[in-house]
Amino acid sequence: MTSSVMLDLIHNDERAIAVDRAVADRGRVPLLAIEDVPRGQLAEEVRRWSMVLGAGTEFAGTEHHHRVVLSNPDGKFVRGYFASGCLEYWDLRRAYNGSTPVTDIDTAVAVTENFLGGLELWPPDSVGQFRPYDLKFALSRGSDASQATDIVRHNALLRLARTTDEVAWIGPGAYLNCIIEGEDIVGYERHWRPIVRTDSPDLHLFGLEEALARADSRYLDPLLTDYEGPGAMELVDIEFGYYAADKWTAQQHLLPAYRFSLRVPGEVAAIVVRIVPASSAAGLERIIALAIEGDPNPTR
Amino acid sequence: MPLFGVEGIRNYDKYRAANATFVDGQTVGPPIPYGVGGWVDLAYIINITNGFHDTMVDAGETARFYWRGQDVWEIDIKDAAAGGDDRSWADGVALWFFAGHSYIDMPDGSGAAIVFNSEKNRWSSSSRDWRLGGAWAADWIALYTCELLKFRHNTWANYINIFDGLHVVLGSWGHPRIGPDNAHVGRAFAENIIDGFPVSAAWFQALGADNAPAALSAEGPETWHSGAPDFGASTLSNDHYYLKGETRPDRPAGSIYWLHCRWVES
Repeated sequence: MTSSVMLDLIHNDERAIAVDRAVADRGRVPLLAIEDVPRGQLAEEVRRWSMVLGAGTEFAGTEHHHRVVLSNPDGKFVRGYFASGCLEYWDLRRAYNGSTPVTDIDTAVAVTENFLGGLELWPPDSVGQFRPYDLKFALSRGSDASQATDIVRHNALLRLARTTDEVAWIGPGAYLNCIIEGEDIVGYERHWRPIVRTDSPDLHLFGLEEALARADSRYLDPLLTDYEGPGAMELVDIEFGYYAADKWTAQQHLLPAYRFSLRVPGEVAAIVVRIVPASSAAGLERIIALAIEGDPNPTR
Repeated sequence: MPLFGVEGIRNYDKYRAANATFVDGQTVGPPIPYGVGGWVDLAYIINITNGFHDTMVDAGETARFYWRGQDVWEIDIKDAAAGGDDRSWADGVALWFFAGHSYIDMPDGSGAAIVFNSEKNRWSSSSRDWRLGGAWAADWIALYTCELLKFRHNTWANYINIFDGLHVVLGSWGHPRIGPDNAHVGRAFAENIIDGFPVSAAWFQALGADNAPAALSAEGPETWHSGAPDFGASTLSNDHYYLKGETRPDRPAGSIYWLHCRWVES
């Protein structure tokens, strides 16, 4: 099911053409497998983090079927997710709170490198695999009946995106997220799935048009097939890369996909994101396509 | 035992069939052609509401109701004094979670109206018609919709009516993404609450910076400090779900001194 609307957008967008050309030049990418993180190993790493970052306070733990959580009375948490190996650290008295002098991405990256490097908390073998992705800010303001205060900048929110063999990772499992208060990391989400080279043949990559032509209704819902608007949708962003799923998902392989972000302008101005496979490797659908659940409409 | 309630709307076919929208100053519809004015269906919304509901229930919390699609009604959030039935639904639970469409409702670019796929009794509900807490149950309302909390000007005047014992409103400053990358927002929010995050921090972490999370809370004079607020001591910064940490007391409408707005700019 090809979308003429989507193709029109692509043909009129320089970013999309640039992505397509880069993919065409590459042609193939390796099929990478994801290494299992043993449950005990992750739990041990979570404990090590709590010792390093707890500064002498005791952490109490609970282990659920899919995650381990350690916390202390100072509002610090360390969590590990068994399915993905995702590890998080939160100092909740300082995350989304306090203030920071950090205003630019270079400084944010330097703060992150100093903090994680100093405590030896980078993921193993991760040197050179993260690049700055974006920087945003958490802000506050107070308002009473007569005035509004100045805006306070609590935190700088830095994302570093992973790359492997110069191919970016995309999706919710692609990033290392750092929340900076003052010049410290007070929130940290480490999506880091260890990869293993396989003996499988390289994956043939589809260009954008071929990928869209092959994509079926699981990927391209009525937004792209039934859109009847007189104004064009806007292509907010288009990315290509290895797709990494969320922290609750056990992922066996790392496979390429396109990620489209589209804005439908108007009264409600929706922004929708769609993931389209960039290869026909077996198992791709299982990994990158979330089933769209039906609406049971219980009787009221 | 605190209760929570969930309502989510994925398809807006009935709304499009019966309503009009604006394109370049011109009225289009009814019916609204698919997508015009941004009126698309919201795939993955039910994944989000299912994720929140199921994670809370799995952790031992009790759901008072979970309505979807055409069973989500305007009267569920509208104040009883204005002809609604909020005390049975949104104001009948400690935490109400809604996911669907909304749009900026006020001429100054603030306030919001959430939209339904059924007309009981109206197709949309303006935040001007909400008043939560007080003699009723609501402490937190969380809405995964567009631009619910777009703080521009007149924050006090545009939002103070919502609070009468309600602690915090959670929403978005901008446009939350609708797609597979965000299908687990509800699960993440519930899991953070269960793990003991303050409710607002649970929301900010679950949405992530891409989805421009925002929160608004009712605060007292003790943290205002003559216009230099102690944001770290506010209800917004410290309020937890019941039995998951400190839960701040209800603050009746007459005792609200200031509103704390927090957001990630998109």
